[in-house]
This record gives sequence, structure tokens and C-alpha cells, in this order.
Amino acid sequence: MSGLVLYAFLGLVLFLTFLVIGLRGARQAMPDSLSVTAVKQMVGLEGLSFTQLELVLDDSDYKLLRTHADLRGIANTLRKERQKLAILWIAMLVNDLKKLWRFRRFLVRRGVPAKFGEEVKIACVFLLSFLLLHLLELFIRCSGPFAIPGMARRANRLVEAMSYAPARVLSRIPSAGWAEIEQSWARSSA
Amino acid sequence: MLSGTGEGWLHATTSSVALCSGDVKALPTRGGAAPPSSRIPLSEYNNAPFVTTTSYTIFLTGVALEVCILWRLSRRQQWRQYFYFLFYVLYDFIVLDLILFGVWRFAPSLYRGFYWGSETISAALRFLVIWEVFRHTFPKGSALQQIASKGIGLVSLGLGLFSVSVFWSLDAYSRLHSPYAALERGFGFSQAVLILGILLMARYYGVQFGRNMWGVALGFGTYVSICVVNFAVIDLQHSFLPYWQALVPLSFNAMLAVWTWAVWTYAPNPPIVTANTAEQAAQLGWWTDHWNRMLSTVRRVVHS
Repeated sequence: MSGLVLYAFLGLVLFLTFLVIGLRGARQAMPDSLSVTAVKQMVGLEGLSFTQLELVLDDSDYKLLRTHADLRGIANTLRKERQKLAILWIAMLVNDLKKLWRFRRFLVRRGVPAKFGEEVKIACVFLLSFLLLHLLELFIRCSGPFAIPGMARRANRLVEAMSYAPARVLSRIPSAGWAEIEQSWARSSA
Repeated sequence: MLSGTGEGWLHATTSSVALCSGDVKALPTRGGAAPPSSRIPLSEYNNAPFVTTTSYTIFLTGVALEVCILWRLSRRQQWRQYFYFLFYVLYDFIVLDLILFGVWRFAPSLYRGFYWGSETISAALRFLVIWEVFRHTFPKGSALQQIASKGIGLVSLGLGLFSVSVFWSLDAYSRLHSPYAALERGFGFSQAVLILGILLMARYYGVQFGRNMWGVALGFGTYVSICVVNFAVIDLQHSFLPYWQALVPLSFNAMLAVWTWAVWTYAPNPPIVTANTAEQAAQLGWWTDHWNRMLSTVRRVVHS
């Protein structure tokens, strides 16, 4: 009896595991680093190029200042400043996200081959990321910059992943044509 | 139908059709077969039109999907690439669909024995699908193949021992209603774990899947894990038997549908790019250097 229960349980676990794997989909090939860098250069991703994210989200100095009664005022000021910085960074990330999405549409409009399913998936990712970033902004406004560092890092990774979508499309055309695309993009976004 | 009413029905297991009736207590407990246990005339099962129609629909859908898979594999000689996979589908199509249907129609007395014999062979042949996924994910000659084959070999050994011990244990054997159910459970569990192991190992090393092998592996894994649950619950609680009997053929058809999608276009796994020897040595040197630095930092942190 216990063997049968064990089999039924293990089978169920295996079934759910395969279901999760199936829903997550196959791992997609990373676009080559050259096209990722080219996209970052062309589009000018300010939020993603910000490297001091850990410093903004780190609350150790704030906690240290809070331990001294005389320095609590400074700690609060520091918290507010960090909060402003974090909100500014999120605004930059949202801007990056919009730019990336526009750039992708720009590439497809210019005739770069893309599939319908791929486009739908990217649109969904864009919408989800957009919602997540605004939710994050709301959290930071309500509970400060140190409340959800994990979520903030995830948001950064989401936008980073979003930058792969135009990079994948860009890698389908020869690098000799990238300069022309860059000029054309600059003209259209001006 | 298994509560002793004697009512017969058309039962489809995997992609085949079988008639079953009778009380579950009448099934032999050792060495005997689970349903199909006996045959009834065509006029009698017409009294249960829903079951009959459903079973026929499941059966015909399965046949149609198998024909689709074989047709897609025959295009651009894909079958050369996926020979073992083709062999399994072909076996199911010829033996479990065509021949078994013929036996059921023209030699019903042979049906029961033939059904379980061919079904057991089919369960064993499912290992060919695993081998197909493995050899395409970790191609011969690649460095990954050596690591993966050792890992999968060890897992297989462990699974083999586990399955044999469970099969022969008193708990499984003394209350056994059908050794075939136990065999299906054991095979199914081993196969699900093996295919999951291949998928996880591929993910760990960042090996890319093409649509063909991704669909085959995923459909197969989902189906065999359902089989494990199904054949465990069948022996646990007989009152659910009619529902569970419908679940396996339905999930088999779902697997065939996923396989049809997978092989509809030729999309093999992308080749694993290997660096040249000098590059490999440089990369390994870089990694060793950084790894050692990391370890010494950890040691410093631990001792401070």
C-alpha cells in the first residue's frame, strides 16, 4: 500500500514538474554580445547602465545612523534621498523599457524578419515589466527604498532581458548595416 | 462496469481498443491481467453508446495523430535523424493500432494475451524515446556527452534497483491485481525520472533545445508521469477505475498531439559550440584563477 501511495505521489510531483517546465518553455539562445552592446549604444539605455544599484538599495549605513539618537535626522534625510534616487532610477528603467519596445518595432518595420508568436510574447513581457516597475515605484513610495531590494533587482533583470529582444532581431542582419539603422533610429526618435 | 453489473464497455488503452467487463474481484491477483478481461458481443456494448463513442473517438484520434507524426517524419527524411523515435511510433501504430484492432475483430480469444504482451513491449520501447532525446541533447563526441552519460548511467542503475525492489516487495506483489500495472508503474517512473534528468542537465549546462526534441521530451515526460499516478491509483482504489482507464488514452493522445506539433517543422537542437584548444585552455586558466581567488576570500571571511 505504502509503495503505491509513494508511486502516486512521486508521479504527481513529476507531472507537476513537467508542467512547470513546459509552461516556462525552452531556454532561448542568448543573442551575441556584439548585438546586445550595439542595441545599448543605439538606444541609449540610461537606467540599465546605472551600476550603483546595490548602493541605493543597501540599508546598512541607514541602520548604522539610526543607532545613534543624534544622527536619526540625518538617517531620515538619507532615506528620503535614497527614495528619490530609487524612484528616479525606476523612471529611467521605464523609459528604457519603452525605448527598447519602440526600437524593436522600428526594426521589424524596417523589414527585419520576426515571427508573430515572438512579437506577442515580447508585447506580453513589456506589459508585465511595465506593470511590475510601476508596482515597485508604488511600494518604494509607500515603504521606502530598502523595503524590497529583491524585487528591484528583478526589475533590473527584466529590463535587461527585454534588451535581448531587439538584439536578437538586430543579429539577423549583417553588422555592416547597423550604422545605417543607428542613423535612421536617431532621426526617427528625434 | 467493474462493480459487478456485468456491463461491458469499450476500453481504449494507449492507442488501442479493448473490451472489458466483469467484477474487479474476478481479476486474477497474480500473474493475471488487468482489463481487458473478457469480450462481449457488439450488440451488448451498444447499450453504452457514450463510452463506445468516446472510446472510438480516442482511438481514431490517436491513429490520426500517429499518421501525422509518421508523415511529418517522412518529409525531408527526418526519420534518419530521429530513427529511434520513429521506431517507437511505428511500433505503436502497426502493432498497437492495426494488428491489435485486427486481433480484436477477427481473433478475440487471442486479444487479451496479445494486448498485454504488445503493451509491455511498448512500455519497454519507450526507453528508445529517452535514448533519442539523450543522443540529440548530448551528441556523440562532445565533452558534455561523457559527463552526461556517466550521470544518466548512475541514475539508471539506481532506478533499476529501485524498480526491481518495489516490484518484488511484498507490499507490491501480494496485493497485486496485475503485474502489468506494476510493470507500467516501474517503467513509467524510471522513464519520467530519466527524461527529467536529461532536461535538468541540459538546463544546467545551458544546452539549447530545438523544437523537435523539446516537444518530444516534454510530451513524453508528462505522459509517463501521468501513467505512474494512473497505475498506482488503479491498484489503490478500484472504484475510480473507469475514470483512470480513460485518463491514460487521453493523455497518450495529448502526448501524440504535442509530438505532432514538435515534428511539424524540422527544428533540431542547435549544435553545441566548442572553443578551440588554446581558447579552452585560456578560459579554464581564467576560471581556475578566479575560483581560487574566490575560495581564498571565503576562507578569509570564515577565519576572520
